[in-house]
Amino acid sequence: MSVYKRGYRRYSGPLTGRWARFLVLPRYAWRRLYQQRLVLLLTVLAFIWPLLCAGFIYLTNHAELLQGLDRDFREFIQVDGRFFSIFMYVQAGFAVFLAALAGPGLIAPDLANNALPLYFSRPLTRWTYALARLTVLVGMLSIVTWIPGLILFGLQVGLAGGSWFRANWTLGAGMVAGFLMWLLVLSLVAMASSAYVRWRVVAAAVSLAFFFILSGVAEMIDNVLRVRWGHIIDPAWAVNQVWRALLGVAPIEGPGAAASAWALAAIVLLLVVVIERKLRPVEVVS
Amino acid sequence: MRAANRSFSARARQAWTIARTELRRAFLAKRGLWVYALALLPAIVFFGHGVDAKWRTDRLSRHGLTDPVVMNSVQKGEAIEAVRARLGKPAEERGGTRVRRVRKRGGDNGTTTHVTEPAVDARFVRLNISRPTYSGETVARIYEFEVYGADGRQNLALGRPATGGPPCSPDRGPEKAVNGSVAGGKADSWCAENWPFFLQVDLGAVHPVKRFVVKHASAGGESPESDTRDFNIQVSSDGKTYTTVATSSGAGFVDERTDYRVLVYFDGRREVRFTCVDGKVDSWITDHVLNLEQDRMIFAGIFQFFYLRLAIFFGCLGMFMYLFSGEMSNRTLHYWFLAPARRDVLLAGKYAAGLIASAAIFGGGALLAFTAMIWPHDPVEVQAYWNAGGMAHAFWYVAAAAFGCIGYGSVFLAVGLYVRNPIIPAAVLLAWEGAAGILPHVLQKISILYYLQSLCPVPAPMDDDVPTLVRLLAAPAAPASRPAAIVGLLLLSAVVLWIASRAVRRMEISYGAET
Amino acid sequence: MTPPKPSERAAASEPRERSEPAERRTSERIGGSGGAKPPGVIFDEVSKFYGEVLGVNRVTLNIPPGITSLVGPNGSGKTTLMNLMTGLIHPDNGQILMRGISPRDPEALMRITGYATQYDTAPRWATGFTFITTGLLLFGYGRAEAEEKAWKALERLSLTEAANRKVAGYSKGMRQRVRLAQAIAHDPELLVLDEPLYGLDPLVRAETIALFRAWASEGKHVILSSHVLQEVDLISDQVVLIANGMIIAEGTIRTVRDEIQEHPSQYLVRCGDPSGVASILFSEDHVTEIRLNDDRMGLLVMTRDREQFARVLGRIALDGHRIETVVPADENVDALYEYLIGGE
Repeated sequence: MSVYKRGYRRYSGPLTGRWARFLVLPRYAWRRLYQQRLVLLLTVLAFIWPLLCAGFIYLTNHAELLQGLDRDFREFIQVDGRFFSIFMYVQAGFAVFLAALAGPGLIAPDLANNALPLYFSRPLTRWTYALARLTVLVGMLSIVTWIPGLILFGLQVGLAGGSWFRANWTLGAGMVAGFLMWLLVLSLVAMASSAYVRWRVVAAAVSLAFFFILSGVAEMIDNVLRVRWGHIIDPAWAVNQVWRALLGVAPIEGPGAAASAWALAAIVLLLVVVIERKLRPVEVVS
Repeated sequence: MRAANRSFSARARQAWTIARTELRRAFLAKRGLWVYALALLPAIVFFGHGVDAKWRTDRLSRHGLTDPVVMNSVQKGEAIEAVRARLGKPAEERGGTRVRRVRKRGGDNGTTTHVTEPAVDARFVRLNISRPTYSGETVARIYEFEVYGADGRQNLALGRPATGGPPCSPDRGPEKAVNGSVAGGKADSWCAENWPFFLQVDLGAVHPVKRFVVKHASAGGESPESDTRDFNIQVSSDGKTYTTVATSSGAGFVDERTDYRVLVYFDGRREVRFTCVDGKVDSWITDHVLNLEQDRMIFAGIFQFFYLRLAIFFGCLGMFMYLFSGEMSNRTLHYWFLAPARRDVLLAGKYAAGLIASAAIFGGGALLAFTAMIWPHDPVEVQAYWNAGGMAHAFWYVAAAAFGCIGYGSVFLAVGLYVRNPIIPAAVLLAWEGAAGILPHVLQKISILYYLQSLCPVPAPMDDDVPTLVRLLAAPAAPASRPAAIVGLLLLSAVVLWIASRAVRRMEISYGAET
Repeated sequence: MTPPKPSERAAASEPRERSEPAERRTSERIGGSGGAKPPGVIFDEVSKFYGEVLGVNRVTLNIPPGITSLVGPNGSGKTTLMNLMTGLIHPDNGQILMRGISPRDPEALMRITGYATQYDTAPRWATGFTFITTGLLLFGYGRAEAEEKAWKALERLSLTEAANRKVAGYSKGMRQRVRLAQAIAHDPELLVLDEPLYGLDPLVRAETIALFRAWASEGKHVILSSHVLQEVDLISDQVVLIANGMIIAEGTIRTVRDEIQEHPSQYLVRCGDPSGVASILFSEDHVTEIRLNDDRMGLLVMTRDREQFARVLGRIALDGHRIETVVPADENVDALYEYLIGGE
C-alpha cells in the first residue's frame, strides 16, 4: 500500500479532444487495408479509366489533334454531362467491388473475435466507432471515385478556360455529390453486412449479393406487375437516376430523380438501423 | 458397451439421425430467414400482381361492363358524346391538361432580335455563346449576325472582318456569319466545336449601334434543337474593354397546354382508355387486365433468370457452405467429428439435411409462386390450361427447383470442404454458369444450369432485339429429353459428392483466429 | 514403460535406444502382451507439422490405464497430442492406436472414447440437456435411453438445475462441466480431457477428482492435461512431460524421478539432534549438501544414492539418534517440471 501511494501519480497532461479521439481508430485501419494485395490491385486497376479519360480530355481540347478522327468518336469524347456520367458508372463499379472486398475486414473481425467490449470500455461510443469505420471506407472509396473525377474536371477547366467552367460548374458539383451519395450507400451496405454476418468473407459475399439480388427483384416486380416503379428498389438504378438529374443527362424511363433520392434515403435509414441493432458489445442470451 | 454396428442399415440410420439434428437448425435458424425470403419473393410479387388485378377489375366493373364488339367499333375522330351514347357510362372518366415544356419560339424561325436603348458606340461587336445548343451538343452555329446602327436600316456588320473560335471546318469560318445569306445550307454558316464559343465583328470604325439580329441554326434549315441556347452580346470601342449590351432570354421554355379527357371502358377482360382531345377521340390504349399467356411467359422468365440463377444459387450457397465451412468458423465442427460415425456418413447426413430443407423451401416457393400466378385468372381459362398440361408444368417447375438444390447443394458442399472463402468459388461458378452457352458441348455438361434449363417446362421468353450472344449466354441449347437431363444432373452430383467424401475423410480441425 | 534416459534428452532427434527386442514391442503395440491387461494408448514415432511449425515430433508413448497427466508449458503440444488421439487431426508420420483401434476409424473409436476439448463454443440453440442428448442419439441409443444417460451424466457433474437453460448462458465453470458431462455420458473406456479442472470452484474440483479416481479404478484410461502441478501430483498415476513437441519423460512420478540422476534426491529429515546427524551424514560421500532447518529441528539432505542413504539413516537410528520423519522433498511433479522443463 505504501509503495502504491508513493510511486503512482495520475496522468495530468492534456487529453485528446472528444472529437479527435475517434481519429485513433482509423489510423491503423489504413495500413491494414492496403496491406491486402487484392485491395491494392483493385485500386490500381481503378485508375486505368481515369487515365484514359484524361487522354480524351486532352484530345478534345486540342482541335488540331481532332481533325483526323472519326466523327462519332469525337462526339463520344466531348466533355459534357454524358462524359462524366460514363466516368461515374465505371468508377462506381470498381467502388462496389472495393467496398465488398475491404469493408468487411474492418468490422467483422471485431465482432467475430469479441473485441467490441474492448472498444466500448474506453470512452468511445458506438456511433464514434461506426463513424470512424465509415470514414475509412468512404476515404478509401473516394480515392477511386470523386478525387480522380475532380482532377479530371480541373484538367478540363484548365484546358477549356473559364467560360467552360462558368457554363458547366454544375457538372463538377453534381459529380462530387453523386459520388458521395453512392459511397455512403456502399459503405453502409458493407458495414451492415459485416455487422450482421460476422465473418469477413461471407459479409463480402453478402454485400455483393445485396446489389445483385435487389436488381433481380426490381426486374421481377417490373415484369410481373407491368409497372415502371419496381426499379426504385434497386439502389444502383436509383442512384443512376439521381446522377442523370445532377449531370443534366436525359433520365431513364421510370421514377424520377426525386423519388429515387427518397428511395435511397430509405435504404440508408434501414442500413443504419441494422447497424445499430447489431453493433452491440453485449449479447443477451435468453 | 455397444459395439460398432457396421451394417449399411445401421449407417443409414446414423446418417438419418445426423440429418434430423441438422434439419431442425436448417429450418429454424435465424440466419436462415433470408433463404425463406429469397424463395418467397416471386410468390409475393405474383400475389401482389393478382391482388392488384382483382382490385382493378372490381374498380372497373362498378358501373357495369361494356360489350366488347361495341368497344371495338369506336373510330378515331368520333365525338365524345357519340361514344358516351353508344358505349354507355364509362367505368372511369377523368380529364386533365397535358402540359409539355416546349422551347419558346424566340423570334420567327430561329431568328432573334436584340435591341439596346439608347444606342451605344462600338467598333467591335462580340457574340459570346455559353450554351451552344438546346440539344446539348457542344457545337455552335450562327448563320448570320447582323448589327444595325441608329437608323436601323443598314447592316453594319455585313462583309466586315470577323473572327471567332476555331471553326468546325475551313469552309465554315466566321466570315460566313456576316456574308449576308443563309440559304447556302451548312456551308453558309459559322460553326465552332471548341470552347470558347465567340464570334467577333470589327465594324471598322466606331458607330452607334442599337439593334442586333442573330440568325440561328433553324433559320438556315437545321433542326430547332441546334439553335443557340444561351449567349450574350458585347460591344467595345477599343477592342480591350467590352460591355454587355444584350443577353438571350435564357432557356426560353413555355408550357404548351392541351386539354384532354380520358374515358375508360371495361368489358370484363380488356380495359380500353380513350383519349379525347378537343371533344373527339384522338387515340386509345388497350390493356388486358389479366392475360394468362403473358403471365405464364413472364413466370417462365422469372423462374429461369431470377429463381434458378439467383435465388437457388445464393440460397444453396448459404445453406450448404454453412454445413462444414461455417461450423469450422463457428468452432462447433469438432462435435460432429467426435461422434461415432464414419466421415462419409456424416457427409451424407448433412447433405441430406441441407437437401431436404432447401428442396422443401425452394420447391415450396416455386409452387407458391405458380399458384399465385394462376390464382387471379378466370377459372374457366385456368381449367383449360390445367387440362392442357398446366399440372405437368407445375410439377416440372417444382422438380426443377428440387433438382437445382440437388446440383447446387452438392457443389457448394464440396466447395465448403475445400475453401473457407465462398466469394471466389461463387463468382467463378456464376461466371461459369453464365457463360455455359458459349462453352464447348463437353464442358457444358459440367454446368448445372444446363440440365436445369431442360427441366423447365416453358422456355424463357426472349425479346427479338436481344443480341445473339446474350441470347446464347442466357439460354444455351439444352439437352432435349428430360430423363437425360435428370440422369446427367444426378451423375454430376454423385461425382461431386464422391469428391467431397474424399475431402471430408482427410479433413482436420484447425480453429484459427477469425481475421 | 521405458522412460527415455536423461542423457539422451539432448540428442532427442537421434533414434532412441530401446532395450526390449523388437518382437516384444510389436506385441505390445498390437495389445495383449500377457492377455489380461487391456492394451494402452500407443503412439509410435508420431510427428505432426503445421506447415513449417512443429506440432509434435517423433512421439512414442505407451500409456496404461489409470490417470495420466500431460504436463508441459503452453504450446508444447498437449492439445495436439489429444487431437491426434481422437482423430481430429491426422499425423504426418507414425501410427496411433487407442486400445488397438486407429483414430482413422471414428465409428469404432468414438464409442469408447470421450473427449472434453478446451474449445469453449457450444451450439447456440442447445440447452445443457439437449446438447448431451443430441450427441447420444448418434450412438444409436433410443431417445428414452439417451435422455436417461444424459441425465445421469449431468447429475454426476451437479448440473441438474441448469440443465434446461441454454449453454450459451452458462458461466465458464458450468460450460466446462457440461463439456465433461458430454464426454462421459456414453460411459467411454478412454477419457481424454483437456484441462478439465480449469475454471472449477474448489468443491466441484474435489468432486471431479473423485470421479477421475473412480474411473481409473475401473480400469479406464483417463488422460488429462493440466498446469496445476499440485493437483497433477495428487491425482495422477502416470505423468507425461512434454516440451517443444517432444516427450521429455513418461512414467510414474517416482520412476521418472529415479531416472533423473543429474539432480540429487532431496530428503527432509526431522530429528532431535540435527547437527549430530548432519556431521555423520557429511562423512558419507554420496551426500552432496545438507541444510539445517531454521527451527533447528530438521535437515534438508541432498544425496545421490538413495539406497545408501537409507542404510545410513538406519545405522544412525540404531545408534540412538532420534529420527522422527523422513520425507522425500522433490518427488513431485513440481520438481520434475523444474528439473526437466524449467531450465529450457
